[in-house]
Amino acid sequence: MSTTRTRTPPTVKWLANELAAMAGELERIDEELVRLQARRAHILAVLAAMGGVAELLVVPQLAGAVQAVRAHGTFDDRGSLRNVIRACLKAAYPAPVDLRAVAALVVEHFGLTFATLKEQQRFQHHSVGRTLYRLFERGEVERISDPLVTRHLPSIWRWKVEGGTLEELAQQAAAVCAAPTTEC
Amino acid sequence: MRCADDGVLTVALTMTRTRTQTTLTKLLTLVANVHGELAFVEGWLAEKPAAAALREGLERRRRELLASRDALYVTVVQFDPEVDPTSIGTAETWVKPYGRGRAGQIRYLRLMVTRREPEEESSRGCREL
Repeated sequence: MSTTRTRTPPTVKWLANELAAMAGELERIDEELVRLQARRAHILAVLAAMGGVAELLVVPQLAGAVQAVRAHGTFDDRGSLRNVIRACLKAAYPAPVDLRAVAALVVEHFGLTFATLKEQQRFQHHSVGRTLYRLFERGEVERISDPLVTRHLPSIWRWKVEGGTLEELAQQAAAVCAAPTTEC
Repeated sequence: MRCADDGVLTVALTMTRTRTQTTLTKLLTLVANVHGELAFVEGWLAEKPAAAALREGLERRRRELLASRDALYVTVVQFDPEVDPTSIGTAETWVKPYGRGRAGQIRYLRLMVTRREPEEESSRGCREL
């Protein structure tokens, strides 16, 4: 009869798993530290360079005058955020999309992370919401929800196509049907 | 941007990082001007015999311009990573404070020896911004 145990005792098994997981987390932290140190060095270099440019613009005190702001990240190329939102609404058309869904897609697309929920909400409102509003002002999207009625709910948006909205088409259809010589 | 009576500069900051064409144009103009001045200085150093004091002044200016150029390159790439600042040509707006033509060149070279900044640049203070 063999005396070798084939089954690890649960305590040992748990301990082994936890040790491995902790070691894995440490590895992840070390990798992140290396990345952050490189990023820190890059940012210091950019800060120094931009301080030099401020001097060229005859505002040498600018670098000292600005306080740190935890600003939003930039989105690859210029206009990227707007293009992603356009593509999102176009893909969903004729269905409308609410602000929260658009923001979730943007976050996923750019791989954004937020330290707090408030920061995420701020991003949703300031970056995504305002971009949608700018597209609305340009006549590229239409706002389905009424801000006065659904003030506390996420705004709802839809891609605007040439030839009018669905409501306008329905009105046109109704007008055609109402005409005496037309059969509907 | 506001400048108080005591000379303290205050700037309204925002979370968003809007980049405008005006900013890009200004940055690229600065790069072009630095390229232009650098070409002038390097051309003079390479081709014209100059007194030791002038040569020293021009060498010092050349180092300053190279530092400014590198700082501008980093800033332009920070603005838009797709812009290649090395492909920007030269501009001659930098000559303006000294005056155009031979008289302007002489004024510039004299300033390189005495190491004084041109009047127009040095007199611009916080209040004029």
